[in-house]
Amino acid sequence: MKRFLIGSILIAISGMAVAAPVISEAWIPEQPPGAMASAVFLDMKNTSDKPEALVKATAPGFKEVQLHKSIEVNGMHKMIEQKEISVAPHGETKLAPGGFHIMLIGPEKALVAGETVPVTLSFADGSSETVTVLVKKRSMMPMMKH
Amino acid sequence: MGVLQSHNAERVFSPARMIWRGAWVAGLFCFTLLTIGCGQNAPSGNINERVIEPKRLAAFESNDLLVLRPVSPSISVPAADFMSVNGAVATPALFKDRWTLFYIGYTFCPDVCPTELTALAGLLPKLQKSLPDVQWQIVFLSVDPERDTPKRIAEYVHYFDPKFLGITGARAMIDKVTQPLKAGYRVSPHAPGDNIYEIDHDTAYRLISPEGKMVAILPSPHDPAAMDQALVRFFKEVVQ
Repeated sequence: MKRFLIGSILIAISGMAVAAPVISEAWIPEQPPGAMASAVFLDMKNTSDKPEALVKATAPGFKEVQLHKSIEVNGMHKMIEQKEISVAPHGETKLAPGGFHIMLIGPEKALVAGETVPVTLSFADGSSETVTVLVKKRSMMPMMKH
Repeated sequence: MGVLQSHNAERVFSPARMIWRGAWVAGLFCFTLLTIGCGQNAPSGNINERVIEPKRLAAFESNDLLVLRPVSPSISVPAADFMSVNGAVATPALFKDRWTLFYIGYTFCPDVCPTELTALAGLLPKLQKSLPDVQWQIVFLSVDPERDTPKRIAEYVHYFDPKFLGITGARAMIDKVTQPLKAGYRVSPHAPGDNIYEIDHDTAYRLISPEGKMVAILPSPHDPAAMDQALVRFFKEVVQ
């Protein structure tokens, strides 16, 4: 009976465990003056046994926020709007230059390095999290390989 | 005092001085003859006016085609009219007396264009160091004239390097240049007046010679150090 009880508690805990990915390394590249679009880059780690997905992002001060992926086919760069960006169980998905990104469109004012933007991320499990994202200058690192 | 001395020395007769002067005049005369005799087809002394020999270009083998691909035979950039923030710009005059890295994009681009322009800003000082005689020019052609004014393009590119030149023009002019250079782009379908749309576009840097010919393509991903090495070798074997 005791063993059964402990077992059920454990099941209950694991069932309750929120599957929302752990967010780290979030940043927004400072854009040139007058730029109409920017991007949020970050890492999402899924510590659960279930697949997770970022389904929506919002940020104050922008006309629109969309989920996107940059891809390159035969030397041609394309941006494809994403319904969601998934993270495999115990997996990691990086939003990084040349790949997935949260696109910030139509800023009310130019973002300058050192400022922060509160970005609210909504996940497929219904949970959401607001991350304070720092605006930083781009480094001269080569782009992510495809 | 030094000036006065040399001034006085000027008036003193010296056979050695006369010989030197004679040699100098003769040298100048030969140089003038050479310049006149050169015409358009032989390589001139100045690397920024150099005409590429098709044979040397054809013989060039890239060490890594993912960094630099020679374009042989070279492709002439057609005559077309564009605008920069400082006024009218026309090809191929734009390419005269310098070597150009040419890139197409649009300022609404949040990810790839800033990344590529950052890489170009990293490459330029490297090239100025490793090929110091070459006059470099970076040209960004916006293929989004509906949203990109010359002023906006200038602000955008100058953020990465104030020496970059941003241009755009009528759709027909853009296509006249991008098509023969095989610099493809595609504007996403959007309703008239809809200001939010993407443009798929080629991400390579194109090397344009002073006579307005595309002689090499540098495809992405762009690593400034690798491109620097590849261009040094290209100049050594094809241009210098």
